[in-house]
Amino acid sequence: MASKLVVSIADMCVSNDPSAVLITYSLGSCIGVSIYDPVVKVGGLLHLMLPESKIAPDKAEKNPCMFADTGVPLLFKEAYKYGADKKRMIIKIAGGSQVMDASGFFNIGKRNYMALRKIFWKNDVLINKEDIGGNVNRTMCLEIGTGHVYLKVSDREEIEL
Amino acid sequence: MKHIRIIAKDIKELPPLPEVAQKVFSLLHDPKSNVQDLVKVIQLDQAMTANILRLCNSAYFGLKRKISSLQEALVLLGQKKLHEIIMTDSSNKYYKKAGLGYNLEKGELWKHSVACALLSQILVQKTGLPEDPFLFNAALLHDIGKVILSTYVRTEYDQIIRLVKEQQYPFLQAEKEIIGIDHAELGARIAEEWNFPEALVEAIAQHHVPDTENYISCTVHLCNLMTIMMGIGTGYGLADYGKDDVMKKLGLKEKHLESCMVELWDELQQAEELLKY
Repeated sequence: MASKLVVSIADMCVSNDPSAVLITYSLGSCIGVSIYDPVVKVGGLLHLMLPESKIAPDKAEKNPCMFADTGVPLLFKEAYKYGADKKRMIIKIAGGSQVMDASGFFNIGKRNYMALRKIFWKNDVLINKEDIGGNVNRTMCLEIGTGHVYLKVSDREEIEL
Repeated sequence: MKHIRIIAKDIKELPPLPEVAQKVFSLLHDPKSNVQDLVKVIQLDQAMTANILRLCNSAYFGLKRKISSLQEALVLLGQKKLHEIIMTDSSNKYYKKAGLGYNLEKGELWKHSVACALLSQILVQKTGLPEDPFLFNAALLHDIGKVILSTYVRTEYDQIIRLVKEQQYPFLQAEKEIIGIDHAELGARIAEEWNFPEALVEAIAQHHVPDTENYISCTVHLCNLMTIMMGIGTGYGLADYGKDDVMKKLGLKEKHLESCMVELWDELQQAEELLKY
């Protein structure tokens, strides 16, 4: 029986339990980051909310998962504890929606995405798959046993990412 | 359009807000009026008194000792907070079942409404926006129209979504086109039916397309957008316009939105009792 572990907003989960399914709901402008090492079968899912922790360093200290720049390093570090290796990591991201004609103030989704790309670029890591932008609502899940990532976008059927 | 006549009947049949909520509105209109009258009215209803005390004692308000009477609540939390608790308690029942038509799980519309109300106060505290006695209520009740419209949106969902997907309609406009009325307009009609103050009726009507001269509408518009961006009551998605001119009018910048979103997340961790439905 698969055990479903829900990752809330500004939260993360790392597991090596082959029966575990990590799931995060309702990604609006937030982004879900899934990492998976297929050799040791360790995976993690992060639901980040905002790009940079400098907006509220005290809150970032309390909960690093809120921000891309503090959440992503923590996600990787947790996975390393289970024997995962950066070079083998498969990275899939989804979310970063925008409100319509979000020209200026409301482009948090886009800035979350740019922040992530910057972090991965700096650390020499590739994003393997992504489903980003638009004005949709996404639910994302990662099967630890297989490394498969599934995505449900608004009211459409679930797809594999 | 075929639904309009039935919807008008639904508005009449919706049980009105309890008398205490009306009392709160009149107190907000006239701060000199006697708050003890309000306490007396609440005390007549044992269930409501118990519920209000439960909320007052919840972790969210962080009181050091347990309070056991409305008088104590008034002293320790103050009149403003007590009003907010009463309104939260009074409006809870409407949102309980609503939302399915909007692709929202049970309870999500309630969470969205409470989150907006909390966020409205965070915006005031963190950005120096002016206090307005009706702001909390407008943010809490902005989606009241969805309580009725949800059923009709569910029936016509495919047609509405087709307009959103294929013709890039904002969800609100698609609702209006297919059903003949949108949830903002319908919410304002409910507010009128319940004799809400004009400021509230306007804010509910304009929460998607605010008049930049109307401070409450602009602020509620922002709170609504920020919470759906955070995935709280997002439903189908973010098919709505973000108004940059609202930000300019309120003198807010991106960093204000972000720091208020952080604060809201923090408050929601404490607000479990408020979010129960």
